[in-house]
Amino acid sequence: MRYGMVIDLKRCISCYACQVACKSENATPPAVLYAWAFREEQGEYPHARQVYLPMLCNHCDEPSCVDVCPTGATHKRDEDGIVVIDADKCVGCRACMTACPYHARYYLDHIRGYYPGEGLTPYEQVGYERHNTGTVEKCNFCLDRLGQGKEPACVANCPTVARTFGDLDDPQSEVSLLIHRDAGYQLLPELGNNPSVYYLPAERLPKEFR
Amino acid sequence: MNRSTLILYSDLEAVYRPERVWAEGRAVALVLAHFLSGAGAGAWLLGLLLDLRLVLAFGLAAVILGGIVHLAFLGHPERAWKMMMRPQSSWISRGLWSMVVFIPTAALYLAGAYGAWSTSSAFSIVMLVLSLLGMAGIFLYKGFVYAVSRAVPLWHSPLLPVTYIAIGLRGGAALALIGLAFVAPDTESHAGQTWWLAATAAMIFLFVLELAMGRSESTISRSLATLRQGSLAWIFFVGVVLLGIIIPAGLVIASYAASIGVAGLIVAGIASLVGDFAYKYCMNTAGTYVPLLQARAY
Ligand code: SF4
Ligand code: SF4
Repeated sequence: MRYGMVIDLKRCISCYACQVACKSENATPPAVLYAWAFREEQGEYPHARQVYLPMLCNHCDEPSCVDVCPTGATHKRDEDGIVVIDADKCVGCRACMTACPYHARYYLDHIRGYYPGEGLTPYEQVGYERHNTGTVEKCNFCLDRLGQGKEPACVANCPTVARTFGDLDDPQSEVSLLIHRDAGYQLLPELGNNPSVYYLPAERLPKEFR
Repeated sequence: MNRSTLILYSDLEAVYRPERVWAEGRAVALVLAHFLSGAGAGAWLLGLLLDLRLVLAFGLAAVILGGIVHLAFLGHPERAWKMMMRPQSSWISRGLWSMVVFIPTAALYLAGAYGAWSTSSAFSIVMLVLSLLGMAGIFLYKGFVYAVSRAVPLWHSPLLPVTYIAIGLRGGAALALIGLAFVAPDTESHAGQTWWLAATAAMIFLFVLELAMGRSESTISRSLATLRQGSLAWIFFVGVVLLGIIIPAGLVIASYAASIGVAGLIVAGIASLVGDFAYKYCMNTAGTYVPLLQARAY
C-alpha cells in the first residue's frame, strides 16, 4: 500500500481551510505549517492571474530526506509509504530540510505561543506537548486520524472537496482513477523523488491530452 | 508577528526560495565546523608531505575543534553519536565515522612524532594509515553533504566535492604557512607556498568551471546574483577575493623572490583561512531552491 493524495487545482479556491485544519489538528506553533498554500502572481495586466498551490509533505516514494538523515530518524514506513520522523532519534542537523525540494520540513528551535507576552493558552499547553524542540517536524498524513479510520484533517476539511486521499498502489482507488483520468502530475518530477501527492491541472486539458 | 513568521511568509511566496537552515543564525557554527575540519584534514596531509610536526598538530587540533563546533549547531548535541547510524546512505554519517577514526589515530601517530615512540614502529604505521583513511573521509564528505541536495542547484554539482577538497588542501597549506612561520620562516624550500598556489589555482578553476556549467540554470543564476551584487557581495569580494586570494597570493609569490618573514607568512596564512571561511559561508548562503512552480501548476 502507498498512501497518496490528489489535489484538484480546478476546485481549490485557496481558502486556507486546509492550513487552518492542519494547524488545529496538529497544534503547530507559529512559523510551522505542515500544510500551506503557495501563491504566485503570474503575467501582466490584462492577462495577470494568481496561481495557488496547496502544499504539504509529498511522502515521496524516493524521499531525499530519508537518504540524507544520519540517524535514521526520518524513515519511510514499509506498510503504507508514509514518511515519518522519530523525534527521539532526531539530532536537529537539518540535512533533511536542505534535501527536501518541497519545503515540507520545519526545525523547532523553541516553542513560542501565538500571543507574545501572554504565555501559552490552555490549547497550546496541551497541543505543544506533542512537539519536540531541537528537532525537525512535518506532516505525517495525520497518522492518528488514519488509525481511527478517518482521512487527514486537510482532506476532511476542504470545503470544495479539492483533496482526495487513498492508495496509489490500487489502480481502482479514487486517487489512481483521478490521476489517470485528469492527467494528474507531480511537482518537480525531474528531481526523482516520485512524490505521492499529485495535482490535477487548474485548466481543463483539451480532450486529446486527457 | 515575530521575525521568523515574517520570514516564513515571505519565503512561502518567493518563487526562488533561499536556503536558510544551513546559512542563518546558528548555522554559522556549521560553516565554521566544515571549514575547520576541511583545513584540518588538509594540514594533516601537508604536515606529512612537508614533514612538519607542528602542522600535523594544527591539523589534529582543527579537526577536533571542528567536531566540537559542529555540536553547537545541532538541536540535540547529546545525541550526536546517533549520527553514526546510517553510513550506508548519509554523508554526514560517513563524515562522523571519518572523524571518529581520524582523531584517535592521528593523536597516537602524533604522539609518536613527538617522541613517545618511533614513527617507524608497526603501531605508528597502522595509526598513520588509519589516520589517512579518516583524513580522506573528512576531505570527501563535506562536499557530498551539499552535493546530494538535488533541491539546491548551486550545491548539486559533481564539482562541488572536488572544490571542497581543493579548499581543504588550501586550508592545510595556509596552516602550513603559519607553521613554517614558527619553525622555519627563512627556509629555502617553498614547498608550502607551492602547495598553497596549486590548491588556490585548483579552487579558482573549479569554481569558475562550476559557474560556467551552471550559468544557464535559472536558480544558479539567481544564487550567483546574490554573490555578485546582493547582500553577500561584500563578503564575497572582500572576504573571498581580496583577503582569501589577492593578499595571500601577493605575499606567497613575493616569498619566492625574498623572505617575507614570520609576519608575512602568518598574514598570508590567516588571510587565506579567512577567505576559505568566507567562501563556505557565501556558498551556504547563496543556496536557492528550485522553484516549485517551474512546470505546469496551472
Ligand atoms: S516532501 Fe520532502 S519531507 Fe516529504 S517525503 Fe518528500 S523529500 Fe521528504
Ligand atoms: S534533522 Fe533529524 S530528521 Fe532531519 S536529517 Fe537530521 S536527524 Fe534526520
